[in-house]
Amino acid sequence: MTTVSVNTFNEKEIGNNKPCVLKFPQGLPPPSFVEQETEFVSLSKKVGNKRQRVILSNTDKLEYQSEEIQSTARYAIGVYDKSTNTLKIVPTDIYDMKQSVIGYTLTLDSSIALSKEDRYDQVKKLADSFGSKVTKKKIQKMEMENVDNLDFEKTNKAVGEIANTLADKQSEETPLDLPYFDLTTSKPEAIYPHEAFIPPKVYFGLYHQLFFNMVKKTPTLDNEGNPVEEPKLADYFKEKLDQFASISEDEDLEHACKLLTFMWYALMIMQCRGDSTKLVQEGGASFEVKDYMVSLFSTKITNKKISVSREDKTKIINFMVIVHLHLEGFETKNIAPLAKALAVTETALEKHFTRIGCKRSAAGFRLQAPLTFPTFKENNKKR
Amino acid sequence: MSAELRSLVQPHIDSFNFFTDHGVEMILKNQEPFYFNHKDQDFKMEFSSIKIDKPTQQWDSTQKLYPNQAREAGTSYDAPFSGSVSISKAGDEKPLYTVPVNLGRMPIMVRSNYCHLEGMTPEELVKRREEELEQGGYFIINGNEKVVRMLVMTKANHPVSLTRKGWTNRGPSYTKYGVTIRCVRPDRTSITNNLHYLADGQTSFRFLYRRQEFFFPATLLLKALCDTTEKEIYEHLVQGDNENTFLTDRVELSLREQKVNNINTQEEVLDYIGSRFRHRTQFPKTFTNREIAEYFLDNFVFVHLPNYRDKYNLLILMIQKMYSLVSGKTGTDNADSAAFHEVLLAGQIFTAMLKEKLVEFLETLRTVLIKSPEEKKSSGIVFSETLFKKATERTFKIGDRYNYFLATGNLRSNSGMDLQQTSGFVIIADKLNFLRYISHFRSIHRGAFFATMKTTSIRKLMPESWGFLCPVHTPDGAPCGLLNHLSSQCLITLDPTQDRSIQESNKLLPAFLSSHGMLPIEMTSVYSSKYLTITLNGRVIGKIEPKAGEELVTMLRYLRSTGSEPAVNACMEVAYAPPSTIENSQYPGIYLFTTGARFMRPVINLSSGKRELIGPQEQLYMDIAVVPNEIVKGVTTHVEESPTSMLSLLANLTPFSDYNQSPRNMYQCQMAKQTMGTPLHSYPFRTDNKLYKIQNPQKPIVHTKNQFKYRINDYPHGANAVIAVISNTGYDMEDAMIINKSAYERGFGHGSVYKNEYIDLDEGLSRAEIGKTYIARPNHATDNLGDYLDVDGLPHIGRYIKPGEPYYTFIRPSDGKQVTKDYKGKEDAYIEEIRVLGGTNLKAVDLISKICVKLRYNRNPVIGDKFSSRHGQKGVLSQLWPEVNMPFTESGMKPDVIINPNAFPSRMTIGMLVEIMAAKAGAIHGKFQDATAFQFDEKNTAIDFFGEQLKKAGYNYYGNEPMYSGTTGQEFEANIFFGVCYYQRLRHMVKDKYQVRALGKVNSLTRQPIKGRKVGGGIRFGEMERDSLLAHGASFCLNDRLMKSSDYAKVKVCKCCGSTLSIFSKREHFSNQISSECKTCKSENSIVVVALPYVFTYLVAELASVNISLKLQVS
Repeated sequence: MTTVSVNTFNEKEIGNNKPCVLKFPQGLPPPSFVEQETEFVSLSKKVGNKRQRVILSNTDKLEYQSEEIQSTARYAIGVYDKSTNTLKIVPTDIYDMKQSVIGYTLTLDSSIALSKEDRYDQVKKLADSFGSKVTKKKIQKMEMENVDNLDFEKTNKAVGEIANTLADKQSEETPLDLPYFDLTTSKPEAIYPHEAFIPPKVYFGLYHQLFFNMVKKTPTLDNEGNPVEEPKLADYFKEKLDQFASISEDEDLEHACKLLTFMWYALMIMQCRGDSTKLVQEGGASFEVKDYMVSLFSTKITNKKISVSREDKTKIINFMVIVHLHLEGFETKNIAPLAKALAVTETALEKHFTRIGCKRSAAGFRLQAPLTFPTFKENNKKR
Repeated sequence: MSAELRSLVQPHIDSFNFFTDHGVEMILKNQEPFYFNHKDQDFKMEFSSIKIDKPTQQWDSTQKLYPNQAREAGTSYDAPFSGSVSISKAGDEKPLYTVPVNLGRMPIMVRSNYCHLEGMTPEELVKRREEELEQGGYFIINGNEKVVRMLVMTKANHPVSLTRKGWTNRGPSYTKYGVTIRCVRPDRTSITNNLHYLADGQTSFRFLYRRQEFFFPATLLLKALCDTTEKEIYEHLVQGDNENTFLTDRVELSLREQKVNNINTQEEVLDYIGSRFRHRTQFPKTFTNREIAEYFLDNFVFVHLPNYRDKYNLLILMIQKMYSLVSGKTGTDNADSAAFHEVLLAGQIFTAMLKEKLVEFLETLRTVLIKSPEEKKSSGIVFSETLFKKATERTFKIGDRYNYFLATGNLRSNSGMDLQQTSGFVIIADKLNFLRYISHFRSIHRGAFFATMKTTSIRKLMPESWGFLCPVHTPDGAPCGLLNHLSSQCLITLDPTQDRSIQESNKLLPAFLSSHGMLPIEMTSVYSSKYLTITLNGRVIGKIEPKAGEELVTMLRYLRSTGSEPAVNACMEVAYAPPSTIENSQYPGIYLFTTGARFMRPVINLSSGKRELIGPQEQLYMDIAVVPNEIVKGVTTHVEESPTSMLSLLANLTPFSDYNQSPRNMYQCQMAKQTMGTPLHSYPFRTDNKLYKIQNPQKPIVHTKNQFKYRINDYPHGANAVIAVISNTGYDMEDAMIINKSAYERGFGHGSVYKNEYIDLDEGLSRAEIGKTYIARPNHATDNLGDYLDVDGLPHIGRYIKPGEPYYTFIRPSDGKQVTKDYKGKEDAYIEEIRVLGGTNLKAVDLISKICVKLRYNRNPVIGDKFSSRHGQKGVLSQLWPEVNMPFTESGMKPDVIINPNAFPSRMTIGMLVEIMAAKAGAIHGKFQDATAFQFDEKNTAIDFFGEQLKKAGYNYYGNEPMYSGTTGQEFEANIFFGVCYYQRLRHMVKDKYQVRALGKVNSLTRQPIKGRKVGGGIRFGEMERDSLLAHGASFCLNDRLMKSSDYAKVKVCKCCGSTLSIFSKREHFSNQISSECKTCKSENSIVVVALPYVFTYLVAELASVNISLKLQVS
């Protein structure tokens, strides 16, 4: 066992030469730092009443600055000299070397103002960064409900919804008991164009030959060459056929006969009592025409049976009134024959005239352009 | 005044003293200023002072208020509570105005530093109409004594590793693993932080802000706390254990994951956090992001540590603990164990409440200010001083919130105050007897939240709780194991602020430890991974080499016992979890605690031979011998002061409890609290709703040491009865007991009940009518009530009043006439006292409108009253047997009580048998016997000890004696066990429980008899009763019970349509006959009358209301 002499130093004795221990907690400097001639600068600054030591150093990329460790303990370095067998104990301090990258620019968020949109962004950012599952879900939900953003499905759905509502609105406005009409036109004949309710296919399929022959007073022959018996017609039709005799052009006559045939068929449907075969047997209508007429004015139950509701009848009368106006040149004086043919009273028929937009004058009814429908008084509802 | 008795309630008083002496000050100092914006200006409001006074009278603040005055007047014992609020423009140093505010009245704990009784001698206390042994520890609210019950809390500032299934729901990839820590600030307010483990190896730190949860990635938080680098974090976490790829992989991953948004330095991280939280806060725009982030770090992250470096170190420790848990190196801590528990007391709740209420006050004040009509009108200066002052007056009173809390036990809080319940904090300290009363102060509840849990693990008795919580003293039934009682020796530590020596030692300890082998944490950054972490109150202070650590712990414990080192405080807990290779062991480390509200208990340190306080967490790894002969040399370090130190005060009072089957001791703890005893001595000055008094109490011949230590004999609760254990006459079957009629006549078990009735004539009247009705008897000459009432309109003191007799007379304000009010009680009573309430010290009341009448009921034993011994052997009095017919011994002794020997075999209360022997020997030799548990052992038995004494007096060694029949005089064939036993009379009395009914009130809807003893209801003849009558075939009896004696009704039914609803009855115009007609069948002849339970018609009507018609077929 050897005796070691201990040599302790007083802090005051050492003064500014006090050794210190440097700690590089954030990672040691590169080896090159030690290999090269490293420089440490020891400075002192005054903090309050105390002087504080600051040690600086740097590599080409990093800067080091010392920070004194707040500790309750005091430290010393012991240096043992083997040759003299002495232990030098020198008071010391430990410093943390804080490193900073030379030329580093901080990325800081400087936004402070909070508009409404910003606020939403902020909420989202917070939830994304630190929020819980619940808040994240909430934000997601908020985004889902927000139409502003580009959510394809949402947008599609929204567009579809709008289209639906528009269609609903339109269907409410278009009356079902009238054919297509043009509200903007200023010509009475263009208000209810016959092409709209008698499609060309049907128009050419309409069997006008019977009436045409009746006007020309030539007998109609069937497939076997026998003359066909004239059908029983209402007075109205007979009157009309008589009037047609004055038409000189064949084409015009044909057109008028076709329209009259349309009326005849319509009336037939109205009076057929559920049997649509009459149209073919008596009226000589082709199946195509029959089908069209049936689908326009009634509900098909079986191939032969149809049902004509009250609404259908209203519709038939309206159509017949329109065709009648076509034949009469959009002005009619005497409605009695038509009423008789339809088996309704004149006053009842008057209502149909007003319904399609006719103005009543001293002479009779006149379809006026542009079309205006009568306004219904809604007082009844309130009661 | 007994120091021991005081020590039982000391935790309550200490805690309240902490609130008044330090808590208020700390809260004021640490308050966050309240910022708000109004008319484009930022304002700052804060409290500049808060002051609590000593209790004074409400009407005159110079007059002292004493607790008994509050008790008798039915008011609260509280003190003026005031402060001052200042408002300033944000950024300004000087406040605009500072105005004083009245914060209401603060309830004051009796015998705390702010109570007038503190420091009084017993004589002075008696002079103030208090008990000589008044210990305090409670509040007086509206005349009731209220105790804030102790509540178990997670140990402060110690990270606990847990697994919870529910945590997996916290978000995607969250796992069940977590480390949680309840951080307690110096002002005892707390915040719980969780560290979660994510499936990919990252950790996430959870905290609550305004009841919303937020998660910081732990690595991001580390960067926010310190200007650090990834390398430093890596090295701190891994600590040289580079071969542990489990650890390094996870650390690397979590470092990489957080390398986003080009955020590297602390400055940037703080800015990032601050910018995200900015919109959630109400700080003015002048606050920088960094300031906001720092606000969050200061107030929501490890709030017990103000220094960021300390927070950083703790987070590192927690992450390490987490990885160790996940890797399976260490197991979870048991959160239900007492090792990780501490106590929540009144003072802490008060402090936390104050903190919250101050903020709430300022928030309300802001609203009142901004919305006040004056402010809306004014265009120039914002907030004039008068307006500010007015607004403070319109704001609520903080004192009222405290009163509400104590009156109801409900906590109304915005933040929840880091508690798991909102109600049930406060209980009434009812003075049924002294034992029950004192137990309230020692009871500690696990928390209402746990009462709803279906698992029973939480209720289990943990070995860790040895010596801290009593294993015996817990109720059976619903609160079993949740409501515990502190062992009599267990104490709760003081807060460091209350004890200078703790503060001193906290300062000295780190340096002391570093000079004894600890490497301070700041000295170097890389340690061996095997090193143990040393924490002090949740702050990592250093590391130590494992072997040195063990030595350090032994040394600390030695120094703690001697008290010679100022750095080592006697109250310091040295929790040491040694490193272990066993699976599921605790995370190793040395955890030092000097905080308040921890459990501590004394043991003897064998190395110093001195008393040392130890805590529950360190106890786990200590070798403590229960009795000296258990000591193993070289292993045992400590020895218990007494084996009974694990028992509570009450469990300690059971004589020879070590001879009894454990549940019987539990029952005794229950029953001792139901005993009619001596709750107090100041009967004349008490106005409790109900008080019991036993007439001829005695101190037990057989007692335990605690009986004297805690002055229990000053409040006796029973009598020594001569007892014979014999099956005699049959009246002692099924735990019934026969009492000697002469013993009864000599006063055995006599007692009385006091009830106080408050009569307030103004109750329920409108404000205009108050004060006009008053008690008086102007017609005393003519009203013939002289026998009943005095001339003042009140009954004579001492009069025996019966139900229906005149009670008092008062003047009706409507006509000025004298009205007599009769006594409404159900039981005869004596008028003991009448107290006129109202008025002040200086001026008596003019018109008596509020009185308190104390009634005394005689409650001497009657057949059916309940008695018990001190061993859970209860029984009812079955017969008062005439003494002449009682069996007698050879010496002519006749027992006071006869019980059946069948009470013993199944219940195994050997302690009672020993007590009877011991008391018999004691009575013969004229000495009191010590019956403290664990005094005898197998070699040295109690039977021999007392047998010898009996033998010496000429009695049978085992206490048996020949006896003779009282009726025939013949000797019994067997010798009878005969001796003396201490008997308690329980409060359950036939007079309070009997229930009879013939005719009476019925429920108007069903016409069935109502329930409830108080209202003269019947006893339900239920489904099971019905079953048994059916089984007996007693159909007529059944019909009688369920219909005839219940809701028998005759109902008209139409035979045609079978309906009971369509019948229309009307009285004929010219005769009194009632004619009925079925409205649906339009017939009068089809109607018949049938007998039905009335409730059936109700069913028919109810069914009809849901469109179901019910038809009866009547043949």
